[in-house]
Amino acid sequence: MRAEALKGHLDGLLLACLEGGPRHGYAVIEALREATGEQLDLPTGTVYPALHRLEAAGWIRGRWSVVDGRRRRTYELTAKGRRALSSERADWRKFSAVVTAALEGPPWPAPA
Amino acid sequence: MARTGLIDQYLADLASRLPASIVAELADGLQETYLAHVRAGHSPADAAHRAVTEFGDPDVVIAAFVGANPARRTARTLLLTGPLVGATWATALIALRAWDWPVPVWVRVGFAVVLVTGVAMLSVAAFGRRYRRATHSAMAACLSILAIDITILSYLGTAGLLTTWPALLAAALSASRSIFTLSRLPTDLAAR
Repeated sequence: MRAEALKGHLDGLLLACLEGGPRHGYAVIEALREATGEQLDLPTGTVYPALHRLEAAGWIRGRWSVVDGRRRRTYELTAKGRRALSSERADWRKFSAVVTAALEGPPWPAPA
Repeated sequence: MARTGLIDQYLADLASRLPASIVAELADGLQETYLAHVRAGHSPADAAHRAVTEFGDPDVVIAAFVGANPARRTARTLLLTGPLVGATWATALIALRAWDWPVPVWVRVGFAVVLVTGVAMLSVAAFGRRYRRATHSAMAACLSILAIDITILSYLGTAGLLTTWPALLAAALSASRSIFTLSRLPTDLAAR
């Protein structure tokens, strides 16, 4: 699978990673890696700005804590983020159904 | 386990160009990545090298943060809507014969200087490649534009000039812009 195709859906993938509960940046990256079967080949440092973008959009909320003497930012989905995730899922189902029908349907008759 | 100089060097590069809160978050992620590699059996030096490589080129990470900077988005929105608000005010001021108002020349010049400076700072915030500069420029521009909107709205309101439809439309646009700008300030301030 081409990683570029997955990158286009990064927002939805990040929201899905946070659906199960709050996670900090590294845990989000690990969940993303696991969820995509390690197919998402992007610099992990760029996941953090994507999380900041989602936070600015109000889809996730970040909170600071201190773990092992280090400051840690943990993110969780907001109600708005859950709605955005549902919408992403619905769009994806519609899109994939259309593409699947076109790619896996019977051969189209050639024009006369 | 203590991390190696390679990670500190990487973080120092980021710290010179990104706010401390972002660097603290990245430091935590980088340390977790490093520890995961150590737990997987790699030597500290190898683990640090792998962690830094996975994180990516600092320029790429910084560029991604610049693109996600909320202050930059605020600046772009204000730049995009500025011509509409400006054109509406121009129509209103012409209709009200603003050149006949008893406003001293220095006030008119000061108003123009604040406006032009605000637009210039918005451009820096919207298209610049430096995170901190973009945030500070956007903040200064937001305050300039707020001052302009509040001044003109106050003047027209107290002088009883909000009587024509172009003036009312311009006032409504300025009021909406002020509300938007004020609502964005806390998010933009957090990005410092």
